[in-house]
Amino acid sequence: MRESVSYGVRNSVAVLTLNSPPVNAMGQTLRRALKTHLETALADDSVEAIVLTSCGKLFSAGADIGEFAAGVFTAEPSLPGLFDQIEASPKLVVAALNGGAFGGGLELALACHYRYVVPEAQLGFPEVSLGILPGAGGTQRLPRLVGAQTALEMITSGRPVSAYAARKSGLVDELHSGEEEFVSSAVGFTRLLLKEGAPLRSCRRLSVDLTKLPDGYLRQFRDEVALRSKGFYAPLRCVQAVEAACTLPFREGLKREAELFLECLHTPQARAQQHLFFAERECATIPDLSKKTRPRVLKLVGIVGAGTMGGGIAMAFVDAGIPVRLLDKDKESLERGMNVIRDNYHNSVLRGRLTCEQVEARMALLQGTLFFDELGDADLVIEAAYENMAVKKEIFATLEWICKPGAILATNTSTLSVDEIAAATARPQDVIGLHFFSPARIMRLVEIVHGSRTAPEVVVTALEMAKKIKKVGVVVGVCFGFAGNRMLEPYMREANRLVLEGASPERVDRVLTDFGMAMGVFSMADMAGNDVGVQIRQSRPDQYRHDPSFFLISDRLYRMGRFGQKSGRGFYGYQGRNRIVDPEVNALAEELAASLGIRRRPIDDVEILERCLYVMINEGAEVIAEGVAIRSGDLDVIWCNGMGFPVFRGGPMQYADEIGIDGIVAGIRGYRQRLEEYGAKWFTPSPLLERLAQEGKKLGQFRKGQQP
Amino acid sequence: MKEAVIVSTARTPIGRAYRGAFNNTDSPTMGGHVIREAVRRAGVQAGEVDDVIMGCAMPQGSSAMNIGRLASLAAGMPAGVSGMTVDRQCSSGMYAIAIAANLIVNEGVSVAVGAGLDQVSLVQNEKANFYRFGDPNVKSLSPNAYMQMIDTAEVVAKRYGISRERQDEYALQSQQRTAAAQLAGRFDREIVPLATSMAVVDKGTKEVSFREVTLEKDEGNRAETTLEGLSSLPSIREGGCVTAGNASQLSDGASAALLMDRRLAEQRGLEPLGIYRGIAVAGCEPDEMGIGPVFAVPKLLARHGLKIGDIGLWEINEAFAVQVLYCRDRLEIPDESLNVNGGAISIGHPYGMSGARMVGHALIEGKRRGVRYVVCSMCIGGGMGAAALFEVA
Repeated sequence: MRESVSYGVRNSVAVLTLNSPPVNAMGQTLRRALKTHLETALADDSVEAIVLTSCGKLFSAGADIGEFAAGVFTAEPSLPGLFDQIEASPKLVVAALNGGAFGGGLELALACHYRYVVPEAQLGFPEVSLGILPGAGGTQRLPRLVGAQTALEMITSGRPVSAYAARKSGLVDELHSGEEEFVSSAVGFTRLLLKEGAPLRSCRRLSVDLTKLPDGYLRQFRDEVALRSKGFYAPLRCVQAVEAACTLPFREGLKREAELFLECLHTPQARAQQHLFFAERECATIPDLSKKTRPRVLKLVGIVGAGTMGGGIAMAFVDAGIPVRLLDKDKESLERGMNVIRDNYHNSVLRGRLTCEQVEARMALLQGTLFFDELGDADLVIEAAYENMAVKKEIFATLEWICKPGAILATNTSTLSVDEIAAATARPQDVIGLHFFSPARIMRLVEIVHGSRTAPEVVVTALEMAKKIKKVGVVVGVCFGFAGNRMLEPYMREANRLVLEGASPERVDRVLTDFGMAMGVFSMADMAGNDVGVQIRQSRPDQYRHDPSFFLISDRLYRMGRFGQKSGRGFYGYQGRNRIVDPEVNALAEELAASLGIRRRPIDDVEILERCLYVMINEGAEVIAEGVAIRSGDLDVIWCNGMGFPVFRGGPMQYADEIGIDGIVAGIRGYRQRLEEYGAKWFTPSPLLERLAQEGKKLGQFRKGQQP
Repeated sequence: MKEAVIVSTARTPIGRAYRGAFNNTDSPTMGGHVIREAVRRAGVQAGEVDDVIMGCAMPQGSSAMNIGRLASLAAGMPAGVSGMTVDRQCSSGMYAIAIAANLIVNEGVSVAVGAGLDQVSLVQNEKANFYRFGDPNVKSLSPNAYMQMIDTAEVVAKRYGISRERQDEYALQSQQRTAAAQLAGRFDREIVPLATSMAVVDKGTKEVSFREVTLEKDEGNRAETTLEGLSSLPSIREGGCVTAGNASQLSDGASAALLMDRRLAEQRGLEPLGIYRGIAVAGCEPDEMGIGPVFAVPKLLARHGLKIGDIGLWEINEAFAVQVLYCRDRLEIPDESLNVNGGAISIGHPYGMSGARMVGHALIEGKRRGVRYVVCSMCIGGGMGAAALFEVA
């Protein structure tokens, strides 16, 4: 049987090797084994010192966060107790980091007396992105070793640091170098410490060096964190924990850390962020796909259309080192597209994000072309042309002709039927939707649209691709707007209607941004351009003919030539980059309301929020009930990564589970009644929501093809 | 016949007694704050208010000398607006609303305020007045008339066989419902934040300092409550089943409603929250005061020709989980329409305030849900129950 920690003695140094694949998560079994072996080493008089290392790619990824939900993460031996014991060891303990150390893994290393590390290792505290803080001494030991400034940066940002940076800050004592095998070299380092009579350097005996801290630094840092982490709970507690390390004795600091940790653990924010963490991992699991399905090769990518979308997608690929051929039939458009890309990279250099050499290397991977046959040897071609079925069909007919067998043919359509496009080719099994979100280089989301005839390995390749270009791919089925835009429509429809009923666009936007949305509905519409939505709506008039108020104000502004930012006026006016409230919009709303006999009335913030969100959640329930999405967590990943939904709320479906499905169903029914004729048109609870409410269940329990 | 409508409601967030945000806030100030806001929300002039009726279960100390009048003055109302205080213990706030409604229906009053408050931090403490508390004559005629509330709850548990486990489960549900409702913003429409000075006692030196705070939401809710946590709490009485977890909290707060003649509200184009339909009060044995609603609710419904099933939303004050459970099951009220956003266990229970808070909340939540009738009911110290019926506008 494999032991989760193995034990050996080399040269009078006990070597404890964590061996709990895949990431040496510090679950209860590993903790027990570590404690047992530690005690063996301490009891063995022939052992002079102890080295802690691991086999595997990582030293340790930290606590087993699955244990949080199960409540066993505090089961004995607890991490804090174990680390205490290590730190108090009368024999020298050296952490030999053969790879990355994160969270509890880094806390383990901090409890040791010295740290010996491979240069490629990364070290960090990602807890804050799970809505918690390092709760096993990390916030107390790290600042004692590296000072408050570095500790605050690391703990509140969650970003890991390189081994080199860690060596510089004092977190790491020695970097591994030379040819010698890592563990023997670490044992050698330990023997050297013994020989030199190096002290047992435990963090608890150090105090945080406050002398180098600029005046008022802590307060200023706290204010900055408060500002940039609005809505999140953990970041400020991280600051408080480090403050405790600065002001309290070690023991009391640990106590304070434990209190703050528990405060964080039971917040909706922690549940939301942990939900998203798991949901993003679960996304890549597709129940219908055999685990043995292998992805196709992906070495050269062709992109059709050098506009904003095509250019952004091209950059995402070359950023990941994948060569791209970017096609546009029109010479001027191609040149313009290539120039935009060059300018964007140039800006990255100016901002210090990239070096000139890096940009050169990336541009070398990108080749513009006017001729389809140059895409013939691409493994994947992504069409990013106009949102028009005839245009798309024509392109796919050409691709069918020139692309090599087995090439994946993808469309970046945001609403059109992938099945219909696929039917324009003789190889529908190779056709898939890859719906990127604007700006494509920045937004992490790709909706992978699984056509009814798409081959399994094409789906797997798309998921692989998403990972390679550092995006999160979510597989959805074919329907109007797929998952994201389909839920967006009712959300925007209510916002539009509320303006007719008496809420100003800026009020609606403010309520939504107060809730945490990255942008309000109308700022977003102005940015995307009012014309886009009009075209999409015109493609299916039957869906809203029964409601004359449907997106009425948007449509009217479009007819007045107010397209949004691009025309300088939309729901707002624009002076340069400044948004200004335009009273004409409210006058127009009054006029339109009067023409439809809609009564204008005072509307409060709660109604604005509920109406916009509940219809979106209701549509989301329909999306999962129809099987367009595999699980509700996928919708949360979509909304938090592509549509600006606040991460600290975990996505619309998680928010629904958190506030209770029954209250939402009751609310939808209430609006159905109170909004009379209009309510009867749009406010019908999804049967899935009704059933979950009745049975007291959550959307998160629902899986495609299974009864929750 | 005239009808009285509730046009607006406003309440403070509920502070935890003694260590909470309102532990240094004078009762008239707290009451005045919500009266001023209810008047503002209704869009009426202060001088139009005919009378301010304030419910208060502990009208002494800071709440003494007619808190209704003092709170009205603290709200900046003109001297010509009259005020009075009503004490029917935990139903006081709701009864104040009923009195205000009756002034409109029967006395020709156009606008009145019905409100409630209690300031436990300043009143129910070492300064409380127990001089000659307990008349031997009453005791000889009704031995349990002065029985402490917690003991009456233990009586209900024993007499009707309601287990500790069920009480804890109910308390957990109450906490969870409030947590979800807070997150969904379901108290936002009623709460008006209160900026005040709070007393902070240093744990070490016992020195008292004062801090300016603004309370924006109820501070008593414990969203992290678990069943294990609840079941591990010691019972307050030895061998009993009532704990700090399954009983209401000691708290400070005030809530006010502005009522108006329905026709006047219509003339002004106001959108009322609901229409007052009636109130009923019934007495019961003082040693099982918690079951009062079992007598008051049928009395109320019979007067209006309604059945339990006609009521879309219920608030029964959570004095103790044990009595809510008994009332719910005895009256056969569906759990999903009762205390849907929690109650005094999770939100807190400033005695005189609770009735006024429940009415305001039930009307807002009832409107949100599109129900027609809501009923608010509570048990009353000394052995009574009160229940009032409102129609959602």
